[in-house]
Amino acid sequence: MKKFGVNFLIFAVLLACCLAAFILVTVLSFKSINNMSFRVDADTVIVGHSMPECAVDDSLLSGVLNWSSSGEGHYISYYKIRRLLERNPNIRYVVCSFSPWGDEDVVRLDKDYCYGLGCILPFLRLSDFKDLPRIRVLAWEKALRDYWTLWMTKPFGAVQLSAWGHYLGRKQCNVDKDRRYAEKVVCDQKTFKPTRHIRLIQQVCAAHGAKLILLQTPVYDKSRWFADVSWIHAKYFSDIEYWDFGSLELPKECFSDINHLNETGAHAFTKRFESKLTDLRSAAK
Amino acid sequence: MLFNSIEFLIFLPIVFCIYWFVCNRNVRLQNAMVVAASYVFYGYWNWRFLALVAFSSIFAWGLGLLGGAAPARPCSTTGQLKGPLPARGSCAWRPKACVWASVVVNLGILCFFKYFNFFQNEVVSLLNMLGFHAHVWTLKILLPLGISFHTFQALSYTIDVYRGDIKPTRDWISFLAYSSYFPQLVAGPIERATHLLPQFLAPRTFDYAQAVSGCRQMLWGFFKKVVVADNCSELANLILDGKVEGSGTGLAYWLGMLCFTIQIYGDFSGYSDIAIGCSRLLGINLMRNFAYPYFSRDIAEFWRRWHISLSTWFRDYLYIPLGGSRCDKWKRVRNTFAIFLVSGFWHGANWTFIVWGALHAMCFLPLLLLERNRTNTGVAAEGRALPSWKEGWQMTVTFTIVLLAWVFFRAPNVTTALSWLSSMVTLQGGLLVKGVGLSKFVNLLGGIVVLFGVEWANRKWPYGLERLPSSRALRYSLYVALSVAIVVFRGGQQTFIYFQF
Repeated sequence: MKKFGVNFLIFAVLLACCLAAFILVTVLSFKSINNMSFRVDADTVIVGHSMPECAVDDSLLSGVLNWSSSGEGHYISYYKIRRLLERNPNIRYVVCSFSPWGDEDVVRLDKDYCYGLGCILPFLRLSDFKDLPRIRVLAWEKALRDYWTLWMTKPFGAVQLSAWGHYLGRKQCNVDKDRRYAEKVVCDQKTFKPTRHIRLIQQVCAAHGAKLILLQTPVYDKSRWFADVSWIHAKYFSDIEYWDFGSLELPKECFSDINHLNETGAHAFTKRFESKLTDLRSAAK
Repeated sequence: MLFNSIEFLIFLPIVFCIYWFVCNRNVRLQNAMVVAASYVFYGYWNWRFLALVAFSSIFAWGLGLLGGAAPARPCSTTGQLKGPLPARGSCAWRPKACVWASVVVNLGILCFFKYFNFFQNEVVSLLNMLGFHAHVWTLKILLPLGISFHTFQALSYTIDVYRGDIKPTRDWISFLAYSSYFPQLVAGPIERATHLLPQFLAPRTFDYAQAVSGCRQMLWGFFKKVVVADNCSELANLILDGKVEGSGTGLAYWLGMLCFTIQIYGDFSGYSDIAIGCSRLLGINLMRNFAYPYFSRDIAEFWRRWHISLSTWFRDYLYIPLGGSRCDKWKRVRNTFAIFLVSGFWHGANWTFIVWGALHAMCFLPLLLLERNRTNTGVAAEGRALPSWKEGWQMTVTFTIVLLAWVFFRAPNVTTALSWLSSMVTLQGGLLVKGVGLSKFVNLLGGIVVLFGVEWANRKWPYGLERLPSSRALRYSLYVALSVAIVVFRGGQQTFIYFQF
């Protein structure tokens, strides 16, 4: 029994050392390979979750980069924006998705997984941990693996997890098959708590001379999906510019599901977005 | 509780330490500890069904004591009396009545939880077809985890007692330990009382070689499940559930089904390896459940290597009592179909599983009738590194037949299965599956090459890592490499497929 225990301990120590070395190599390599610097001349960056990810085709725009990522909560967006602004002083406008979910809601959605946590791991400082919502151990472990996958698949500047760009089926229209279409999802005004990270995003933008704009992309049926977040903006964030396209009437063929645009919808919406952005840039001049 | 979870990684060392350091002085104490651990393990999933497990166990134990063995009767070949002589004053009908009670109650529990809604839907459909207006009264029945395994194990005890193969035990704690033993409670191997119960009745001592081998087997099982099966499952689900662009073509279905074929093997044999390895840490030997089935040269050999505990259970308790192979040709055909159809139906309440069983029966029967079902009983390419051309061809054909039969196992219904098969056979459409990262393919391919390479090299031995280099440094490097691979390359956590059975 003693021999078994000793040998098992040797194995455990060896394994711990190998894993620690692996984590260190991964963190150091990602930091050197992907420092979040733009390779194109862009003064506008879009961050947030799957709704803006699917809605804005940045290849049709000039000076705009869409770095949204599905499932991204505001706290992930904050660390991403902070790093982007540090590395890209030309950014003038930060467009961030606006959703009613508090950070605890996002973390609770999938207990053992935090979307986007992997890509911001290298940029977290010790002082940031006090602002993070409670994230389970398994989620940190998965974030490390996501981060390693990111490095393996797109070592030259991507921030999106490789799988997310395609899961909605850009050419499909599955609104009628979307199970959520039958549900009425609302935000309870009495229990709602706004995320503090929007204010942190506003502060970091102001510190770098960038303007923050909150964005709500089109949804198919506003009465079904809690797209009516304008009351949250009015109550808590009225001082931040808000582009509310939630009520924009687009045909059903433009939607992949009830709250995501497909390729057709993205092209239609991108034109609207461009028009708004042009007005903003003109006004700034 | 899943084997591939943090909870189990905490649970097992605690059980191990208490088992060998606290309870080792007394067999009953060790068995009681096993019972407690097993009930915690099962109850972690849903504590409400603990009562069902307990009832099934105590009922089987009670019936064993009450009924005892069948009265002595002459053996059909030698004429000698087989079985114990009945005690004076005993009721000759009692043993048989107890067996029947066990069959009715255990199969009744199984049928209720697993097949009630299926049977009801079919009866209602039939009545509607005949012009009667019947309504479906569907119960929202939660399927208890591993119910098929547990009830079969309880049933086998009462039948073995009746046959006189084992004496009924009065030690209820040992019996509870046998019937609810956590490593094999929810997904097998389905143990026999004659093999497992004596191990709980006897004292156990810690065996270093057995413990090390058990750890190695667990490590291999985790690799198969977490790295190979879970990664295959992600890709298979993306393609077969139509979640990526390019799925729905013939070649895409071939790719999806190939992934599923490997997934189900990695998942199930991985679970068995973890269960057997974990059990060996506690000094208990479970029966082997898989013997490298995808290296089989014909379907008969496949069924001697796949889910061995289930196929031998059906052989001993269904096939042989029906006459087995010692009867005329038509009865042999009947018996073969019966066993495969029941085996298919055991897997799930859906026509697809029955069709799957029937397909295997149709492939098995020619071999049986031509008496070629025991042609390939040894190890493929024994004494050689590579198989001969003939063996390679045989393995490829057998693998393809098994893969095509898995279509019915995976598809949600028969219509969908036929549609997939039609696309696969006609190879309609191209193969351009978008939306799957290159790293996924690389991880997958690497895992599959390692899995089949290691298992081919060790096909003579009970599991893939049984024989390793003698150099300690090499062995430790391999352990660490596999462990790192399990942590880094694992797929998204999936439950074990056979939990649903």
